[in-house]
Parts: sequence; structure tokens; C-alpha cells
Amino acid sequence: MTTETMVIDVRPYTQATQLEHEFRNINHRYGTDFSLHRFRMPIRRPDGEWDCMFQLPVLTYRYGEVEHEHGLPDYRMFDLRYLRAWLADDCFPSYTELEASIVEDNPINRSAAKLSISGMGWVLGLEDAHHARLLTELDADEPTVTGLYAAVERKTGLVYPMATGTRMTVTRDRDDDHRNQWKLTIAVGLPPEQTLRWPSPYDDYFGKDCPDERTMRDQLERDLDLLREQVLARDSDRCRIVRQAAESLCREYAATQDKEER
Amino acid sequence: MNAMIMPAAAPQLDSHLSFDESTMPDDDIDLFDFPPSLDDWARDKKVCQYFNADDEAETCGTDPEYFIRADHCWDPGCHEVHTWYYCLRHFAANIGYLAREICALPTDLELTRYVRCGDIPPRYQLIEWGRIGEEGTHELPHDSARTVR
Repeated sequence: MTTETMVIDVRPYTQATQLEHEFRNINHRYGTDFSLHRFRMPIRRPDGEWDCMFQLPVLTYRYGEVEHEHGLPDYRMFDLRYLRAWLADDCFPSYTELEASIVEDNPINRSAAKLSISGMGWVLGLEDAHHARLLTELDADEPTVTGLYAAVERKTGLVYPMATGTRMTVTRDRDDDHRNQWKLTIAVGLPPEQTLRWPSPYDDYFGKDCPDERTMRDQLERDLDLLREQVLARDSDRCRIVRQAAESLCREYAATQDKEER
Repeated sequence: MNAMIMPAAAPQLDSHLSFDESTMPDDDIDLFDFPPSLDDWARDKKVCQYFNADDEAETCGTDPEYFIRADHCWDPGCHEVHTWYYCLRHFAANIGYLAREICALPTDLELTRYVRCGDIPPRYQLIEWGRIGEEGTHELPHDSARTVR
């Protein structure tokens, strides 16, 4: 078994042409059909409505079939407005496992490889994205969302959102005896060295070296006062900006809900 | 009848079928590893709700003494009041973490970490905390939580 990995990093200074070149390399080596697109900057129409859908379900692979992920409401799965923050926070872990095979006689012609999905999560369907009017060409005249790309794989009809700072890892496993077949794993996420690991509260506070009950109660008393102080600060001037942002978040959400109900 | 394959709750049956409740395996509910209710981990009473996010088999399950109540979770679309129950140790751990890290973030980080991701910051979620039985007795003034909602 030979394993080979290719990596595409979207850095702040990466040019789109450079990314396109790297995708062409991947297409050539692994038989995929990637092309690079951008997310459109939504425009508000004169009647106040947006000219796209912000929220979409993501696709997942379950019981041998492609399904929409029904475990979460749509607005917690994909929302263009929060996508860049989710990607930067490693909260949009798209991945797929594909099986590729060449049935023709000419094994050099990898572009003829057939791809089939064997596992998948947190990717967009190309049809859904088109229907929602989210994507546009790289060199389109209309404004696009900065720092955000869509890697579209046409053979499987999947869209992998990528943001500045994220990395796409394509891994190929191939059995040396069956050189016309290989397995591809495609994953988008932060590079491992940049992944923020939020520590578990239980490791830092009374984890394995748990103090005796008296010490714990003493510290609890202090922490309770501190927490009360921190929470009451939510009405203060210092937190005004957060309060306003959270209020507008709820208003925005309520407006979207109203529209869906109508 | 093998009690292990019986469901934890009586299934909805057609009206012409009857179901003898005495055969329900009330005492064997511990056999089921999936908790029907997150509050009690499939037991008859409330237990501490601690579980290790990295290893979900690691739970606490001792008698809870304390509670934490929040108006809404991260989700701006969730309209439920959530209550979590904990034993002393895990309550103290949660309060310490909330007080020193989660609710102590500077405002810019609170914006990038929560609001930009479409989440309500925890500072605006909390209603009250304390000993079980004292629910509703010392609610924090939550004008801002209400207006946020």
C-alpha cells in the first residue's frame, strides 16, 4: 500500500492562479475534476430581500446514500454569513472518502477515472449551491466575498468551502497490486499546528489532582463571586458592543425565520 | 421474554392491542447505554451530568447538589430554558471555567469567538446557579438577556 498526500494551503498572500495551478496538479494525479470558484457577495434587492439563500443543509453519507444532514437545523449547518468564522474556528470540518478506478486500457489517462463516494460529511451539494445562487466564477465582474473560496469537484458534484488560513489535504492510498484503483480522502481544515484546542474545564479545574472538599468549596466561593461580577458586566458600557452585536444576531435570525414561515 | 431487548419506554401500540405494564423491565433500565433523557442518564433520578467530551463513556453519575440555568444555548433560535445538574466537584469546575475563562473574555474576543460564528456569548445566556431546590430564588437581573432574545 502506498500513501501519498498533497496539501493546498490558502494563505493571505496566495493568488487564485496559484491555487488553480495546484488543483490542476491534483486533478492530473488523482483523476478528480476540481475547479476553483468564489462565493458571491450577496446584494440586497430594492424590496429588501437578499438575492441569494444564506442557509443550506450540508451533505453527509449514511446507510450507503447521500443525504442532507438532518441532525441540525439548516442555519447551524451552512450559513454564508458565518462561514468564514466557522472555517477559521475549525467548525466546518468537510471531508470525503472517494474510491477511484480506471476501467479503460490506458492507465495513464487518469482523467477518465470514475469516482464513487464512500464517506462524506459537511460538504455542500453543487446543485444546492447553484440553486441558492452562492457561487460565481473566479474572474466574474460581480463582487465576491473576500478570503473565501469554493473548491468545486464536478465528478461528485460537491463543494468544499475554503477560507484564508485553511488547508485542503488530499490523501491517496493505492494498493501496489491494483494500480488502476485507489482511495482518496479529501479534508479541509486548519493546519494541525494552528488548531485551537480549547482545554476541557475539568482538566484545569479539579481534574485528576482533585483537592480536598474544603479547598474546593473555598475556591468555589471565590469563583461564584467572580462569575456574578463577570455576568453582571453584560449590561455595562464595556460590553455594549457585544450586546449590540448579539441583539442584531437575534434580529437577523428572527427575520430569516419569519421569511421561512411566510 | 428476554428483558434486554425490551425498549425503555412503552411503544405506541394499536388500540386493539394491550400491553401488560408489569412485564416492563423497570429494574433493568441500566442495561441500556443510550440515555433517553440527558438529565438522568437513563436512571430514575437526576445524576451529575458531567461527561468527558473526548471519551463519552466517562460519566460521573453521582447525586447532583447544584444546578446552572441558562435562558438559551449558543443557538439564537433555541427558545428553551436549559438546566444542568452537577455534583460539587463538577459544579465547581464549571463555575471556575465560566468565571475565569468563558465569561472573562475581552469584548473583541467575545465578538470573534461567539457572535461572528452566529453564537450567543455565554455571558448573555446565564440566568442563575445555586443549590438544587433554590431554583428561581436568586435570578440575576437579565434585562440584556431578554432584549438579546
